[in-house]
Amino acid sequence: MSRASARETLGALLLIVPLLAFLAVFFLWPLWTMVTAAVVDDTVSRVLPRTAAAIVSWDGRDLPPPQVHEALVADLRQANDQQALGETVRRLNSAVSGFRTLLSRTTSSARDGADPKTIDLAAVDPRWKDPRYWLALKDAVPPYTDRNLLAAVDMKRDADGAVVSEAPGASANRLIMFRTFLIAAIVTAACAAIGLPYAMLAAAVTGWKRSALLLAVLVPLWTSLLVRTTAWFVLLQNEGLINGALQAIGFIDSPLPLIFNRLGVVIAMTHVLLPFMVLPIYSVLLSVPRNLMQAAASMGASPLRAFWRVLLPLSLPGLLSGSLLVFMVAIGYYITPALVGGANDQMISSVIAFYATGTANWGLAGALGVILLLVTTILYLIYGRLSKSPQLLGA
Amino acid sequence: MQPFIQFEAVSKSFGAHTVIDSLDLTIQQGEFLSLLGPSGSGKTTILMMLAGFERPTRGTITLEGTRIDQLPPHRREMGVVFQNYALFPHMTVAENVAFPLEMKKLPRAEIATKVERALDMVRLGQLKNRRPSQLSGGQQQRVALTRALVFEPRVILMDEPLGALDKQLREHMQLEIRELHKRLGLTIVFVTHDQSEALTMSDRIAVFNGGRIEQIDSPFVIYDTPRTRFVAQFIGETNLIEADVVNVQGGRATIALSDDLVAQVDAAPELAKGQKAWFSLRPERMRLGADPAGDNALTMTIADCIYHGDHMRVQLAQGQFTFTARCERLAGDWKVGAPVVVSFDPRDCTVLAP
Amino acid sequence: MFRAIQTLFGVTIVGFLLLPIVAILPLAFTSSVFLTYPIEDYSLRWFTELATADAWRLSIMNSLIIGLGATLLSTVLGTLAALGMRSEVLPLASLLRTVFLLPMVVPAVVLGVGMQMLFVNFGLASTYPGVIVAHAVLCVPFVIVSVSASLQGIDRAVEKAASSLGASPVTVFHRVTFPLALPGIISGAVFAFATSLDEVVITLFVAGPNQRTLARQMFSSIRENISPTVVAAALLLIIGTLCLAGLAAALRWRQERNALRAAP
Repeated sequence: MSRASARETLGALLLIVPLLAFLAVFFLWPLWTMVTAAVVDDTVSRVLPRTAAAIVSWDGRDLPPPQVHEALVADLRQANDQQALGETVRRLNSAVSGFRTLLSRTTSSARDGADPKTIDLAAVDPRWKDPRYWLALKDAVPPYTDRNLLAAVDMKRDADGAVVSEAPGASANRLIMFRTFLIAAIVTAACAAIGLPYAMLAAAVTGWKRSALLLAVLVPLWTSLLVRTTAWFVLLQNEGLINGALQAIGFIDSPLPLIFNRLGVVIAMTHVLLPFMVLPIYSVLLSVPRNLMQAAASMGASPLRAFWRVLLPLSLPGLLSGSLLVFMVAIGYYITPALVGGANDQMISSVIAFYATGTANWGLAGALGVILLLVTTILYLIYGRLSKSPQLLGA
Repeated sequence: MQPFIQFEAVSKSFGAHTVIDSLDLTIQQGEFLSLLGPSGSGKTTILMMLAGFERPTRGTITLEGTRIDQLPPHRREMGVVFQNYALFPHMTVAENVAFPLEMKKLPRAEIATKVERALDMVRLGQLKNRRPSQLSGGQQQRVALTRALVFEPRVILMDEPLGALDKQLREHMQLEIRELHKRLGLTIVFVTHDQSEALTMSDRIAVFNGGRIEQIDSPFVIYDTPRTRFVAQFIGETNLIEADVVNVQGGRATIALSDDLVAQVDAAPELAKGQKAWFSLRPERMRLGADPAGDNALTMTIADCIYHGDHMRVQLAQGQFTFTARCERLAGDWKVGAPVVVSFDPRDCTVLAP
Repeated sequence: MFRAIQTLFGVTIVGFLLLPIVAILPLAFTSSVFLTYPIEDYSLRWFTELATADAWRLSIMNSLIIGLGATLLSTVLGTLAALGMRSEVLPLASLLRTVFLLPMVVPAVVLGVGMQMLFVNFGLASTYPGVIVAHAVLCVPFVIVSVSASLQGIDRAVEKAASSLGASPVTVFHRVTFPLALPGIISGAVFAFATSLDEVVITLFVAGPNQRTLARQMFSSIRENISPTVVAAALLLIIGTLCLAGLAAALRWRQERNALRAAP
């Protein structure tokens, strides 16, 4: 590389570095934090470092050797960070209940005793003769865990360490994921059903009609998402415009349930996401020469056949990009289901928000987030590949 | 006399791809030099190296004895007219023309007078407050030209400046540029792939092919005495035939065009008997009908005759052998299939070593 | 017949797209506390509420402060990066572009949770700088897309022309490149501001009660106790974003027209 172009590269890099650094700190790092929250589990190993080191050599049968007992006593004597100790207790207690009293009793005895080697744990509390407690301790010691990731898909490790499904009814994450994909798929299908003919219509007409059709798509796109959701909230409620109008013309006697249910969510999300379907199809159709349909007709194809054999295959790349886009955005939706959905219409984002803000279960929030992030990223990569070379698909 | 601009052993590569290979080129002050060649022949790269947008990989470029090949473009004082004019879309016509003068930090009043005078000269005074987008193609072209001239650069570089204009306007602008060149005594380097443009405008033409100069000469010499097969084919139309040298004697050679057609030609001294050679003859240098004073009179058959309005194009054949001749019109009522005598002057033929 | 179906379909979908937004707006002027038709009496009481109630007034102020901060930050960073990405010699250009556009597709809740966890460590949780930075991350893709598009529209020959006419690289930038990119930069900034104005999810996670934005305030009042104030705020937002979008569209249109006409 010549000196001049080396200098140009350096100049370009200098311009990019500020944004790159900004996004690294405030975008990639938060995502990384969330990923680590899902898999890192080092509260116990930080508070009980000697125990963590010693218990590894125990094979898990019978009771651990005496040096593990000594290490635990030594760790507890020196554990003076009350908050960290509290977290450790919570973590262990969630594995085997009873750990809270067991540890507090053991801690006070460990601190009272003069020499850690003289303390007999079984004498302090007989529960130390039960291997379940030691196994829970051994389980909690590794700094990395797949517990959250498994829990995110309603699975766990049993006593032998094998991966098994959670008992039915114990957790609903799988159900919610299925629901998320289902709602996203319904919304995508609805957008495709409306968006494809609409985009074809917009591409077929000219002049003010085309402008009006496009403007009708762009105005909602520019209008605040919150405003559009507010609009549907007001329209769909029992005393809202739709029910009011239907009752006024005597079509129904009592209001139809349109809000706080699946139907409301699908209607509102379809409205919000329709532009993402129409615009890619429209832009693909614009590049289709107008005389192709005439050419098909000149060769004896009826309008319907010409549509089926010529226009529809040519609009497929747009339909595919649009569908990917709508589905990708839909699975991450939070606001619309939160406002117009009922308890049974909450999607994965709502659950993540619930674990994060409601119960402060960062690990599980992180694990569900990782799954959502992964699915979105894969869809985005496919979308990027498709929209860069749409003609490949048309061929 | 010291050359004005000189390229010495200049090479330019982009990665592993060599565009210009060890090129020597001398440009005299005040001359109009055209760089002519097919696309990818390296002519534009030469211009870009002269303007400073590309640096030579090897070799030197000097202007009046001073090396300029490492200078950035803005210190070279060369007026460049770009292919699509490259007018500043956000400035008016007057602001565009004033730009190079502002860069020279001339006083404001002087800039205003110069801009005024320059625009009046190309009859654009009325349009000085328009944006480029409000001008026609020809007007944009004149603004670009004025902008390149107004700061009195040492050289004017033009990169296919007329390519985007329609035929009539292009011919008009060719005359206008030629006129400016003569009147102001400018040194102009003009890149084009249009041979007729190069022939009509230039003092000299450098014909480029594959990063090398095939021939550099006056339009007259280039057309009448091409020195390579490429030049003969690229400039104008020609009948190019691989032939055998039968005999060489006293500046004259006898060439066997086919088994039974033989032509007398003026021979280059290096031509040797028994050699293969390329024979080139322009269609318009052939006459149909016997020429009493001519040395060459071949009897052939009219294979086809195509009417072109101002001239006719006649396909001649003799067995497998064919010639294309161009003539004003056919006298008499010759028909396709009729025999005809074709004559031409030995001086109009060119024989090139293979 | 086919034509009639076409027209009916077109009109229905246009209605579906536009009517919901239009239909609720008159409710901003109701004097009733319920969001129902028919409106018996018109009044401006909900706009007065918007202007006087502390929660709403504060949220409007916050939206402006945070919106302007995020716009400034993202426009400066995004414009610089777009200029850098214009270079042809930049390695990994397409990867960088993907990274820069990623904030547009990452689910907001995921990013919000991550930011909440991280910002606590930085002392940025529930602070203005924290919210501004978080919004700026979401605004960056819009700036990049808009500025890159306008830079792509600049004919490089125009910059070469300037330098051949004696302009140094710095002069070329401030006399030619920057003025030509300016409409793109402004429309990027407009998109950035509109994005920040409309953002709720990230704000839920990183903002404290003192940084409540208008959108956030609307979200919680719809959730807890919807009143016509929300519709009044929505009207305000619509007018604001439509003005901004109109400005951006006008700039883009002007730029395209210039680019089209300049090409012979």
